[in-house]
Amino acid sequence: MKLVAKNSRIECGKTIEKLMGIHRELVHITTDGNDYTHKHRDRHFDVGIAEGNLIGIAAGLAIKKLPVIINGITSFIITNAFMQIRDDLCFSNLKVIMLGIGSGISYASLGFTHHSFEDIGLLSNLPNIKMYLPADAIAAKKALTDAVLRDGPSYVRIRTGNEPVVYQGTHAKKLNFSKPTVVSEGKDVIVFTYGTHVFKMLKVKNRLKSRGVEIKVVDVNSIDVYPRKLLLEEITSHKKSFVIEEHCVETGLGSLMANLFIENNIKTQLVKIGLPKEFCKIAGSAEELLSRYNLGINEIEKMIIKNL
Amino acid sequence: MNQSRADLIKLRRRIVTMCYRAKMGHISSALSCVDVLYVLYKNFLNKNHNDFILSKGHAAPGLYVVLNHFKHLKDAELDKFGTLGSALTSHPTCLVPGIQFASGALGLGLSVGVGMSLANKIKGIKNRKTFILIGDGELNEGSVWESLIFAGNNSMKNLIVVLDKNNIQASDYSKNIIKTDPLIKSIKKLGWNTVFTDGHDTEKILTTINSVFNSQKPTLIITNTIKGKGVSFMENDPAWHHRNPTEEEFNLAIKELTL
Repeated sequence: MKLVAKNSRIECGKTIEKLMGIHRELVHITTDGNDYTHKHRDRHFDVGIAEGNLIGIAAGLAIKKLPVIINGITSFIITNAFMQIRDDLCFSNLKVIMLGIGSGISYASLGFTHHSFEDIGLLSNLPNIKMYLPADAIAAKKALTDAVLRDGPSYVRIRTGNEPVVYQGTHAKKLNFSKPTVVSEGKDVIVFTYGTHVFKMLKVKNRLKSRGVEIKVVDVNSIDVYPRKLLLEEITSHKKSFVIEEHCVETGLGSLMANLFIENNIKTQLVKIGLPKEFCKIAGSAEELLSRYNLGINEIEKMIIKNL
Repeated sequence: MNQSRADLIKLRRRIVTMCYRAKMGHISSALSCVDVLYVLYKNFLNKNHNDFILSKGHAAPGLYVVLNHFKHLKDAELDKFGTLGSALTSHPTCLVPGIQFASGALGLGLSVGVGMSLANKIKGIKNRKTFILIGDGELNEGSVWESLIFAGNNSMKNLIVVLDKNNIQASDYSKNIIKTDPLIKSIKKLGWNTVFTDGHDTEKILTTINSVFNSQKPTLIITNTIKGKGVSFMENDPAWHHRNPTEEEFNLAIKELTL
């Protein structure tokens, strides 16, 4: 199939405009992002560089039964406005959708202030919030559409720049945010991943196939109440599990999975590959930095072979 | 004695009694703003025509007794303040009848009030006011300034913020922490209408609110108050921010709060 690349940020902007056309009560608020969406200006607001106020205002709108989509840079929203997310949104279970842009280390050379390796870990502590971890622009659009229809706060985690599309052709129909998506079957090892690493894993899978290793790839497209039980079913079907994520592996999906192993007395091996708990102190492109953290395609392939 | 004065003595007695019994609650903060809460609920909030947020959540006992006085909260619920299983915690949440927003962490209420006012504007509801009661210590919080800037910039004329200026915060007099007066002066420059009144005179509070109802800008009403108002030994003493009275102090307080 022809490789298609799409930019999640741009596609989400178009989707927000479309959703605001369908849901006439939906409000969009941004933080110094006035160029992001252009339609429905009567329900569009820019609060300036003020993340706390952004979430607070969104909460006020949602209390008055107007659902809200906010967007901004992940590392600024989640860390700067964590108290507002906790107290204003999650306690009252308000319908506010946070679109976090530039997640993981996708902002690369912009430096550590713009990286988010702790957002999933932080939000994992909070009741009521659903985290969407879309693999590509198609999934990101679908995540926003899904989030608008559910009650309570949501977080949609996207990166920046053009990303290859996974959910096209036969994969397109598989995506469903109420359960993990099995994007590829394989009997030898099972890999749990999310975000743009779903595409990377499909590449790795093809390479390892020629070596006689079959990989099952599961896209953990969202973290909610559901994954625990459904992930457990997947884990027990294989002798070796891997978690691969562009997030601190101690507090992200790796941590969630490790807990599942311990709580359910699972004796098989779990290998976690993700960002270390350290600040990135060097420049480089996103792909160069990912390789450095064993998260590039070549490195993942090597790590899987090493741990077979 | 007029009705309001009699009601407020009763409400103050109830604040002190429920906090004494529960061994919790910020008594002096509640006594500082109970007059404003009474005027708001009696005149502007009783028929659900407007919205209200208590941003200084630690004054919750004051809000609870006023909600009870105006029949939003039952006696049986109020009596359970602080007991196991009650929704009436020391800071208010939306689980309590009549309360729309959970507050306690300072500096959060103003943004939420701005959002509520914005919602009314989007819905085309023209005359619905959003009242937000904030403490003077909250002016230390950056998030408050983010909201002040946004509301001033957008001429949110249906926003009325009441600042309970009792000059004391948790640990000390405000003047020894962050001086409040220069901050209040700068709010006017951000596009706000600012007016001062006596926060313990119900007539003046009412007149002042009525006078700003048609303002074309958001309004900040600075109510000059005394923390601990009504109980002589609690008045204007930072130590009473956290304290709960001894039996002897409680009896003295009740004696002072008798009609």
